[in-house]
Amino acid sequence: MTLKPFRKLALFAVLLTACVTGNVRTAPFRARPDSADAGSLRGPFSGRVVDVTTHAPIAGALVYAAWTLERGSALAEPAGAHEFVGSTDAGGNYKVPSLGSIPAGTRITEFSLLVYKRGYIAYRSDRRFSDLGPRMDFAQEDNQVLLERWRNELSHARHLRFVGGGTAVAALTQWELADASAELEGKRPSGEDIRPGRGEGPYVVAAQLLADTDIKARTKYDGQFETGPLSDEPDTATYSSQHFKALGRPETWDVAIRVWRLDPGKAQERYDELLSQLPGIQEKDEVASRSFQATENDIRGVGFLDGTRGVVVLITCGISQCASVDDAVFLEQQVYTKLKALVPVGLGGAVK
Amino acid sequence: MLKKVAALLALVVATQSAGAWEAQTTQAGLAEQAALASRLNHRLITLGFNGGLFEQLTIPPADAKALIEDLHLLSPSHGSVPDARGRQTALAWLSAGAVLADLPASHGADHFYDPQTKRGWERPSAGLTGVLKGLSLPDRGVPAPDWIVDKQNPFNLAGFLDQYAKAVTSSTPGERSRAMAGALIAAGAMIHVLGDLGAPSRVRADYAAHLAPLGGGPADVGSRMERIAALAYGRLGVPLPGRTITRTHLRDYFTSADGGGLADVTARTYFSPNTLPASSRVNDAPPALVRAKPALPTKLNLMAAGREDGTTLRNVDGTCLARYRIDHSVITWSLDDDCMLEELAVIMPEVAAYETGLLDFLLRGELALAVDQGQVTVSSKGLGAGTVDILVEDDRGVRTSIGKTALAGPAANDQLAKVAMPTYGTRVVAVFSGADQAGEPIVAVGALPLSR
Repeated sequence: MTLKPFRKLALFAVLLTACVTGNVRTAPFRARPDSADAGSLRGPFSGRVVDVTTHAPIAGALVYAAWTLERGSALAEPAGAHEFVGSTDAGGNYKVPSLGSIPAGTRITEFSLLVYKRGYIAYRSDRRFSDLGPRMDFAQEDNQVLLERWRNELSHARHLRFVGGGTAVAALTQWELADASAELEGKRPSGEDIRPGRGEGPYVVAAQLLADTDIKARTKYDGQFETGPLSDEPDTATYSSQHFKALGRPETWDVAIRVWRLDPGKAQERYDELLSQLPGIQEKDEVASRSFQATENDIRGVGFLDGTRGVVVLITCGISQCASVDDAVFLEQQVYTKLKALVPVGLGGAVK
Repeated sequence: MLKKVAALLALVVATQSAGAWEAQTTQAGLAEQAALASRLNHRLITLGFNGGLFEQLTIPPADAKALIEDLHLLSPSHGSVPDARGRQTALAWLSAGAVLADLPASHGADHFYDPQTKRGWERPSAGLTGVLKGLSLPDRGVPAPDWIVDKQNPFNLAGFLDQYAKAVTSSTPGERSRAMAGALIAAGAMIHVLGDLGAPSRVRADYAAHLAPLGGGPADVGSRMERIAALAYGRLGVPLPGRTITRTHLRDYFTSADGGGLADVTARTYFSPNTLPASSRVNDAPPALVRAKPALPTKLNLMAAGREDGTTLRNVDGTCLARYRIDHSVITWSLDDDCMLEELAVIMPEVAAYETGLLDFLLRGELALAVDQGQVTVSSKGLGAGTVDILVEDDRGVRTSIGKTALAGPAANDQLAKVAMPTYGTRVVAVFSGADQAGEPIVAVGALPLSR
């Protein structure tokens, strides 16, 4: 008997079903670009981001991953999500670690990856921007992301719908809101030049500068972090934060990073405010333009000013996580290294 | 193209599951398309939310702890989870409402309606399938058209109207922002309930279709058709409505005596997996039907049905309704993934058309404000008894009432109220709360910018 291609795939699907284990659905993408095997929704994921025209690697692109959880049968309901925020390295490479354990009674139903760099059309692992059709070429590992440059005739309203949400994504795409509104009113966008390297400003978010793997590598902490923005102040165009809350541990195991992206003069002012506000502060000037160390009760604080880029960073780390101030300074230096890679001097300058 | 999609579906459908039109994908996409096709953007701008659908609205987490907790159960990747301040765009709040309608899961049982029996969800008998073992399902659900106005529904019509009016009359911009976000959540949830009635199994009392074992483990059961919709269209690929459905009464969008409600149309147009024609012997009487419609043609193509692949029953538009084949002189019927995909290509734009219509219906009330001889007049057509509140907005954005009028019935010359022109302010706004001339509850709004 000869099977039509469709039926062959259906048969393949039945075979896949037999392999399903645990509370993870079968992924609708391949394990690798050259593989016929389905990938894993859990991950890990890896790939490379390049410019579709020049094939040059794109460094500093936001890599946002989200796993969707669901529970219930027949009448199912959302049961939470897990997020990962990172960025591509100098070679355009990204890595998203596997998702760990999930709450009992839930299942992983979806994974989606978003890659975004201002000046380019965002990339989604599940849909294409051009026709919003399903993406067929996403692969779990060794994935290739071809980013197409933004063109002024494209729709910001469509693009904002396309990128979806997540705090880090929303912060990076907030500038499109006004143009999207104008479009719906039948007005032309402002025509701002958003080509890469032109007027971008140091557009980074805190989650791009410090990852839980950075912390664990230094402190040898073997527990889990719940990550997300700090609840004290929301992310804006000039401020973002990331909280690494140690699950099941006291606050002395928590780490947090706050990042202000300002023009150089205002960055200096912000830095001076921190100096005057934080207790037990000592200026060290060992990282970037200026830096400090501070201590209050069980919390260590380190921070620096990068005057050239107009960036101020404050890292707080509980004494159970950062047993010595050297641990906090090490994290600070890592953040500064990433900042330098993500925001090369001369490519954009300060936020307008 | 369709075959490529079908191939993708074949690869994955057999291993995944769902409950309704999937909330975070299909329902969110339908709500977004309805918003884009409706008068919502214009209405938001009129009321001072200048960014329209992309205006950022805030519900402070401290004001709505349970709501914000529910929202954080959603995946941020679909764009309807607010930031730490409780802020996201108007479009995102509407979409969030469309997702929250399925929380808790038991509310999903209130999204069914059989126009033939006028009943909602009923727990399938355990004899139907072994899948029922161990599942905790409600015995009954409130019929969807009733659920929209049910007091137990946290996102019902009354809640929408209350928040919508407050989005105009509240004093400060922050209060109005919060109220408009609340109104949009309720509107999103209501159009979700309507949209669910585009699924044939939900309007043909085919509850067992929602227990289809889909391969992701014993607990992972749901409607195969609704999962196919999610895979084929997701959130972003949901088609725009080709038209906007206009009805006089809210309930008519769901079901009506003229058969024009979405439940009526869906129920008579499509089969569902367990309401297909019964198997029958070739030489016996025509196959028995659970429902009179869709009807079978007077002659089936028995020649084609005798082939290994069988043949397809199509409606007058050429859309697949079912497959049938003859095996050992018995005609058997089925509904495969390709056939469902063809149906969805017709159903989804129609569902979007109904949802757009309902959204426009909720926002239909419009007041005209004008200045005439030092007086601000408020007029509108088609309104009945109710109250009119007129407010002036100062340059800080604070609104203060400058006049209230009670109406016992339709106003003469359509003029509802008149107040002296305020001596200050940047805008005059007016709200009518009451009933329209069809007796339907309505909130009508209008605004007049003041140039001084």
